[in-house]
Amino acid sequence: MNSLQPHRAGSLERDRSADDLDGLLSRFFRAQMLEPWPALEPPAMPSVRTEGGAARRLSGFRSRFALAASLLILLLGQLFVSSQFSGLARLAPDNNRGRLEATNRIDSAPALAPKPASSLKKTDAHHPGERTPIPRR
Amino acid sequence: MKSGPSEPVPRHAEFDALYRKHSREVWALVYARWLNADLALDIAQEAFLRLWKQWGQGETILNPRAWLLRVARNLAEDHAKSSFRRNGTHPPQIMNGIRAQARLPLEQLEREETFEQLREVIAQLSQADREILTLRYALDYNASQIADVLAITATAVHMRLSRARQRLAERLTALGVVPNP
Repeated sequence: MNSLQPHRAGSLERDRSADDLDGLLSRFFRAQMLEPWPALEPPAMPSVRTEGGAARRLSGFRSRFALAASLLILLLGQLFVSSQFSGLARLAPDNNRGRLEATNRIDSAPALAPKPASSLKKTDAHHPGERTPIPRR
Repeated sequence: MKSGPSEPVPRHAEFDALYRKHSREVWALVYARWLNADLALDIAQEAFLRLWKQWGQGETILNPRAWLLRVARNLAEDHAKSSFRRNGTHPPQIMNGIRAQARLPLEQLEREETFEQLREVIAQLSQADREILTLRYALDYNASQIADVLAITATAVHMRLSRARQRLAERLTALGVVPNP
């Protein structure tokens, strides 16, 4: 389109002006579009459900395995420690148990005269480290 | 428009078909927003890549065309939020007008000048008018096709197109780009 064209009155000119506008708009908008139109190649399909899912499953398995192993080690350790103490208890006679524990565990405990086993109540020796309560009169 | 996830399957052929069929109208809507052809192409392709990603995640998109148009519009608006930071006080269409210093042939120079004037006038129209004009003149869509893309009636398309052309004609005549009717 030549924008410097002289214009004349009349319907023919109006049509021509409309055609000019249409032509100008068509040329303008089509010039904006790339020719040839670029293709778009999609990237490799992100297989989040296969690779990502497998990775998540593996990670979950690992964490569960670590938790189970930790619990197993804790349990075995508890059994080992308890077996050690049960062996020690077997070595000590019952009538010396309270004194033995008190001697071994509380070095700073005041020295008390040993009492005959018959004067001790059943509950006296249950709390190692505690003082032997004085029986009420 | 979107349903729950399902197992992904390779859909290159479907993707290619969608791109060939709808990429231009997605481009047109973004172009109408920014009047920047390269940016519109970037955003249109980004919308398609997001569709591809959704498919890769196993999402089922029931109406890919509507989904693409909506995502492209959103991306165009997101671009608006940061465009000031990127372009400062210069809108992108002004930056587009900056050309290389090599001399152009006279005919091409005139054409570029005319197009630049036209771009400025089109930029003053509403976005809805620009969308209709882009679909009409870039893609050669008729009223019913435009109505389908924009989810409006064909009558509304006719009315808006007529008014937009009238406004354009007045402004371009005042600039001397087109002769008086």
